[in-house]
Amino acid sequence: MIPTADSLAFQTVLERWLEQTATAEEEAQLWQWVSESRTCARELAAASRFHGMLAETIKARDIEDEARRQLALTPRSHETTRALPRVEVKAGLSSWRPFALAAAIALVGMLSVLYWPTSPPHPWVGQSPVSLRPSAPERTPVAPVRPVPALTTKGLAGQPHLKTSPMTLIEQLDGFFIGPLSIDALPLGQAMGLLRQLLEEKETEGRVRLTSLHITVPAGAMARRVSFHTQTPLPFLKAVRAIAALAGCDVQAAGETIAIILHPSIFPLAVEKKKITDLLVGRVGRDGTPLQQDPLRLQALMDDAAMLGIVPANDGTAMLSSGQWAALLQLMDSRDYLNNLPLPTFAVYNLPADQAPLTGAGVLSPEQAEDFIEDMTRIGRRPDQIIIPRADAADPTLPIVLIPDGTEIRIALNASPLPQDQPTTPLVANNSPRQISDPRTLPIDSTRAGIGPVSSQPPKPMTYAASSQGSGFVLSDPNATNTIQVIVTIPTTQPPP
Amino acid sequence: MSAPSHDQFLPLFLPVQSDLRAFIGAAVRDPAARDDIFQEVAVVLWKKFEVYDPSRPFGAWARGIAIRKILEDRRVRDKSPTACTAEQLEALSAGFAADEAEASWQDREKALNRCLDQLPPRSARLLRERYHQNHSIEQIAEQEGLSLDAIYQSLSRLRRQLRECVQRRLGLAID
Repeated sequence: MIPTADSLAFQTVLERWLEQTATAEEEAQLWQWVSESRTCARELAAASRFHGMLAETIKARDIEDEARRQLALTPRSHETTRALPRVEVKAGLSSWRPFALAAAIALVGMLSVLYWPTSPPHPWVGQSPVSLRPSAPERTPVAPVRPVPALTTKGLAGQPHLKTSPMTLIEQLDGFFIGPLSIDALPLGQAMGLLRQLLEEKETEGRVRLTSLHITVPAGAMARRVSFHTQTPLPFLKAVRAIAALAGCDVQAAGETIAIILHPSIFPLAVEKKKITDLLVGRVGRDGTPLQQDPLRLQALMDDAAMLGIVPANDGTAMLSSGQWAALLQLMDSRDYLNNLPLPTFAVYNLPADQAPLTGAGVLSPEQAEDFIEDMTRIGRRPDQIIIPRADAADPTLPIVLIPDGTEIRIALNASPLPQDQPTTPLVANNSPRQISDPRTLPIDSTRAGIGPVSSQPPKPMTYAASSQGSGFVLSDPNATNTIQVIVTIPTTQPPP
Repeated sequence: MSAPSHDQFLPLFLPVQSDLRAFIGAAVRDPAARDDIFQEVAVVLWKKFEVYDPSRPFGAWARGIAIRKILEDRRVRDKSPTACTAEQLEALSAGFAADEAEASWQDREKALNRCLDQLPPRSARLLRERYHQNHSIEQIAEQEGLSLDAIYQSLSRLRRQLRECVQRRLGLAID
């Protein structure tokens, strides 16, 4: 006898089947009833559909709640992006107002602005399934490519003064490198929170206003689990892009917002066969060698691929998803950037003499530079300027020129034309500071300094320091009538070997 | 009949993908195998999209391919002595088709979220442990200090209440 779908016999077996506690006989009986009764088949379909939806929805809600709690988000609707197109609002019908409100909440939910505080590290970082491979303490980030334009400011009350950086927050973030990193099956929302946390741990010197940084993750992608393992340090934004790509998302970054955009595709992403060595096509090393012919870069590519779980064949092909491809691309770009980077980023402080790490002008030892940074951090002093060398400049070894002019100090970068009629102080050059006995009065020697634009000028006050070994430089304004003002320039990181 | 363009694939696939997962999940209880089959089905749907007849419901076509993949997988693994037959899977697919005519997955999901918002904390915790943490009834019973049967009944009652709540919100008849 075939039971009806709402009979106790069918419902009992169905419940046991849903909980996976049914015996083999009960399971066979259930399928038998399903094949013999349309109503039973429909009931099993409805129950299965509801069961799947319940599991999916609870999981998504739970992960979203958890992410919001951990990241101190403001409460929002649990609407999903899929529900959005169904909401219709008709003007003039007050009964539709709740739906209009729901639509607005859903829109907010989809955009899901995540405001992460810059407060001390969250305890969840250590408790989440994220494992961070230990890396050597890295006090400072490496520079992004974008240059800071030259600027001129008038000093106040006779004090040389420097303007704040014109770079946007997002642009500044690329100066911070994240990694090595190992994320294992972490929901995207939490992975972004982790990146944010790592960024804050790097930004110990208060150079960037991270409180203004907004990262948005769509609700539909919040729960997507991603795994990302790399030994290659990535600029923050590249790390965000790589991890978002693995979750089937794109990234748009502008101003103070990083928006993760849900890419309409099947997730988990399907894999296809690709030649991963194609990632090196068109790339050249510093000496112009095509990277496809560089065994070290080929090996590095294979290493990066292996860390992402990609197993390349001997012919360079591998089965990988579009997200893995995009992540590899970010890793390749990061390696290129690191390899081509000529100089570190410099933080410039404009200070009274009693806060200077040296008396007068000179080159700082690494210890002095470190002590100086600690002192600045302790008193909450932020740099007046962050100077970032550009990797694509004609002569990237000369990124910084300070031009004292009475109560003005002009900061110029290598791409900026140097003045022909003003005293010029190139702070960074190829010479070793050990060769300089009196950095303030050394005459220009273009063959040694390679400073180009001012080489034909008569001797001017200047300070040299080696570009790659320099730990920091102190400049007392040579034109100032007193010595109470100094400029301290500290590399915020060392360039890669 | 003109062959559909691949541009039309995602707009058809995305709304039914959760439903397709549920269908595969009804026939394949192992989560890993279920995910594998879903992936394979998605790839086949993409590759065979040119032969899809747009006059037929996409969900039914997808389930048809899923049935073949489930049976293929079963032949390879051969681990389930009580595995359902092709006829039983066809019957289940027909059941899905009849049920999906009542309301879309999206509308049901929206209603379910509303219903879940109204749950008391203890019930919400129970569901979370079962469906997000994937704890077994035994684990939950031990954690809550209750009997297996009490947890089983609680979950069963919760599911029934939620289903009824969803049906009420959608204006559907409650069975």
